[in-house]
Amino acid sequence: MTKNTQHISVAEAKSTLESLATIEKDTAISLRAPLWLNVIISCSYGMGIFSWASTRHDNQWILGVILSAIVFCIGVGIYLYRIRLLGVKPKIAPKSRSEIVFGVLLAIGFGVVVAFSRELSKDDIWWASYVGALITAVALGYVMHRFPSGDYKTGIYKHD
Amino acid sequence: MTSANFNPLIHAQYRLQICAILALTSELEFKVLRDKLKVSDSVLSKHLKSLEEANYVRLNKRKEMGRQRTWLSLTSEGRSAYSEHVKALQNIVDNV
Repeated sequence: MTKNTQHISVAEAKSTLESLATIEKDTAISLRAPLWLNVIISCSYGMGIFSWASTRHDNQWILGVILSAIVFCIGVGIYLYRIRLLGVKPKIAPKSRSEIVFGVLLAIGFGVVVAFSRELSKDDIWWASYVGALITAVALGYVMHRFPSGDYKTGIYKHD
Repeated sequence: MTSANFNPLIHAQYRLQICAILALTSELEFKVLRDKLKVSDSVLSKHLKSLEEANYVRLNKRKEMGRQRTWLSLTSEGRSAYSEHVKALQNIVDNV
């Protein structure tokens, strides 16, 4: 079925790759969550991080964590249900090497921000929880908007 | 230089587009793919048949919400063949 061959011209290969990039971009756009849903999911995530960073044994911010987690899960559930009704099932787990790398880097990045905001907040740096929440909410919203397929190779950029 | 495999089965225009679209999703409904490619049911079925015979695409017919829906997905073999094919095309362009 496969063979190592180069029977096609450079121009043909180039135009094929360009048409693939276009179709990948169109498909990635169809995987995007609508803006209102993106805002709900990102803000609930940021709120969860803020609540967790602010949680102490003598306050009730843990309720904020629980409420944020509920709103976040409902938001993700609505996204998955909506897109399934439209006939598309997005990938939940990464399936290619670039997706795994992207996922791991994101997890490390988010983990570092969350850990720092919690630790700094415990050291009475009051703004750390606000900054951590803002960074994670904006980053999540950006990633969901630009990389809906979960792969940095098929990101959607304005200059495309 | 990679030893990427150029795949003549995938290289046909619609089949390449089918693989590109399916590679970004877990599963896609038949009619969504048909509308994206702007082809008839029969043309799409013909291309899917060749990909299915090569074990690159999996067709899954399920009854959901009272109607029959056909879901399509790339097999791991299909993902790897598509990715190798794109690498081969990239090699051709890079070797200029």
